[in-house]
Formats: sequence, C-alpha cells, structure tokens
Amino acid sequence: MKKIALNEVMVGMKIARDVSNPRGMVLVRKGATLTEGVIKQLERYDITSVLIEDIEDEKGAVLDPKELEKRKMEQIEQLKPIFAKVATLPWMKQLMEAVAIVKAGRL
Amino acid sequence: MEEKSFDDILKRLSDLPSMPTIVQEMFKVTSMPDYTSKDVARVLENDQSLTAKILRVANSPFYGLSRKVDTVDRACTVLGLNTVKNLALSVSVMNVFKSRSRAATFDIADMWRHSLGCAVAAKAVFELRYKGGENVFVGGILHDIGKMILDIYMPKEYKEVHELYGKDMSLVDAEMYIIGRTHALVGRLLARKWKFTEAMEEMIAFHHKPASAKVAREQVAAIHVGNEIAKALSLGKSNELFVMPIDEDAWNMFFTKESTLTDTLEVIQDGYAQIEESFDLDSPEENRKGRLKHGSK
Repeated sequence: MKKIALNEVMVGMKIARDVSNPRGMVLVRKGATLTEGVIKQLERYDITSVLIEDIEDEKGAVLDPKELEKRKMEQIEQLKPIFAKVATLPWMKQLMEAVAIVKAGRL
Repeated sequence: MEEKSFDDILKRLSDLPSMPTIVQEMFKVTSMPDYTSKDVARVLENDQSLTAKILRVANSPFYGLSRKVDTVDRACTVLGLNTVKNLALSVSVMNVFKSRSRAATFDIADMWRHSLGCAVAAKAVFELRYKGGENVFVGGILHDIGKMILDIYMPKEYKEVHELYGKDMSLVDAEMYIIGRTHALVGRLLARKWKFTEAMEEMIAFHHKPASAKVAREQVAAIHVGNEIAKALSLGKSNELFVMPIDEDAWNMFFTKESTLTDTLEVIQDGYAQIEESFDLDSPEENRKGRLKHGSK
C-alpha cells in the first residue's frame, strides 16, 4: 500500500482503502480500479492523494510508482511503431496507454 | 483481370477441405432434440487423438476446473455442452489446416497463436456486456481462416500480397490489389461450404468492418475489437504488422470512460497465458487425410 498524489495516479491502479470526503461520505471503495471518471470525481471533491495497492513487477517484487511511470514510457516507445497508423484516434491512444501500463507492471 | 483472378480462386477453392467427418457427426447429433452429453461423447470419443486434445485444453487453468476431467462426458457436465462442442470444432479445424499448411507466407503456429489471442480477447470483451462468449471464442479462432486458405491455395499470389503490404498499404488493400478479394471474403466461402451458423459467417466475413454485420452485430464487434487487442498485446504473431483503427462504434459498445480497460487487458493477457500451451501448437500434425471425406491432393 502506498500513498500517492492524485495528479500522479494512473488509470488502472487499485484503491487500497476507502476514500471519503471530510463529512465521511465514501466516494470510492477499497478495491476499486481507478478510471478516468473516478479520477475526475475525486478531483471534484478536492481529494489530493489516495492509498493505492502495491504494484508488482513480473517477478512479483513491489514496484515504486515512479518506476512504473518510467516503464510505462519505455513500453509506449516500443508500441509506437505498431500503433503508427492509429495514434491520432483518442480511443486507440487510450488502448496504447493501457497496454503500456499492463506490460509495465501488475497493478 | 481481378474477376478472372477470382474465378481462378473459386476453381482452386472448389477443393477446399470438407468439414471433418467428426465435426459433421457432432453437428448432426447436436441438432437432434433431446441430445445429451453422452451422445456428444460417443461421437468425439471415436477420435482418440481429438479427445485427448479437447481434454488437454479443458484441463488448462483457463477453465479453472478444481478437478481434472478425464472423459468427454465429464467435460460436458462440468464445462457445458456448448463449450465442449466449440472446443471440438476449434481443435478439428486447426488440425485440418495445420496438416495442409505450406507456410508460404507465414508460420501456421504463429497464426493460430494470434487467432487464439483474438479468441481470448474477443470473449473477454464480449462478456463485459453480454453473456455466453463461447461462440465468440470460436469466432476468434476462425476469423482469419481465409488467410490460411490463401496461403494454401494461392501461395504465389499471397506471397506477392505480403511483399506489397507495409506501412503505406494495409494487408486488406494489398489483398484487393493482387487477388481482388480479401481474406475475410475467402473465409466466408469456407463458412458457407461448411454450413456454419450465420453469426459465425458474419464474425469471419466482417471482422474488419463490423458495421456490415446484420445478425450478430455484438459478436462481430467483439471479434473486431479483440483482433486489434491481440495484436496490441502481441499475443501470437499475426502476419499484420500494424494495429489497425478500431471502429469507434464497436469500441464504444464495450468500453466507456468508466470502464476498466487495464483490468480487461490483464484478464486477456493472463487468459492467453493459461490456455496457449494446452493447444500444443508447435507439434507437427499427423496426417489426417484419411479422416477427411474427400481427402486432399
């Protein structure tokens, strides 16, 4: 489990503890996966950080979120050639990023 | 000129392999009212090699059975008749084409791996919204069957297609230019010859243009999306180098802003890893000519 700033979270990360607003209303439950929609909602409620579940590399070792970001960028560079024909379409870009995250580590 | 070339294909395709006898018998049995798993088992167990392969796949971690199944009858009870029927179809069709491949333009095992990747992906995508992705799984296995036919029956022309295909010309455009028809249409001819369901025919015929589907819109969309996901995740190796644009309507059918794309991709990646080995795609196929109705040349 690791605390991570909302502006550094990645779509696909899993929430490790319920996120509540100051009045105690639960906004996102433990175990939920971060989606674009969820992140926007948290921004609306001025949530600045969340606790996320550990990310593992392919050998099962815990991966630092910064290392994950670096690996994701490396994956994107590798994927760019095969996505060359479709990179301008928003949903294809979304697919490319998701593939890069999944290949970078186990969320 | 294109028309002449296509007449030529049709002539060459007139000796397309017949549907394996065992699959014909299975379809016959399962079209009868009140058939049971015992009837299906009786047909499939005539072919011990096929039975062994079905059981191998059924026992792979993909299906997550807590106990090993060792008979077709038992597999039907645990996995459901439809799953077993679809596995039998998948494995038999793979065998027919593996034994005939000339590998003129691509490695047949790599191509089947891509098809298996598409099958796993399409099923997972379909099941995000609908139930019963079993038929979609088979659709994924069979969607590129036209490529295998072209590789076997028009090796010279299909090699030219591959020489032309690249960054500036899609595979489908290259097929149109050299042969005048696409692998999707050629696959459709086999689907008709083998009397596949209309939904299966559409999954094969329209996997590059899902908007053309009429009876199986959702299934076709899932194959279309799954095909590109399999390429994006490098599951197997298609003869296509590039990820092609996914039709926006097809994409939106399964993925919204709220959907957890990464979760789905993980399910697909794990599912493929769990099932791939059980298909034993690198083993050379024994010659099955004797079991085909009309044999082959």
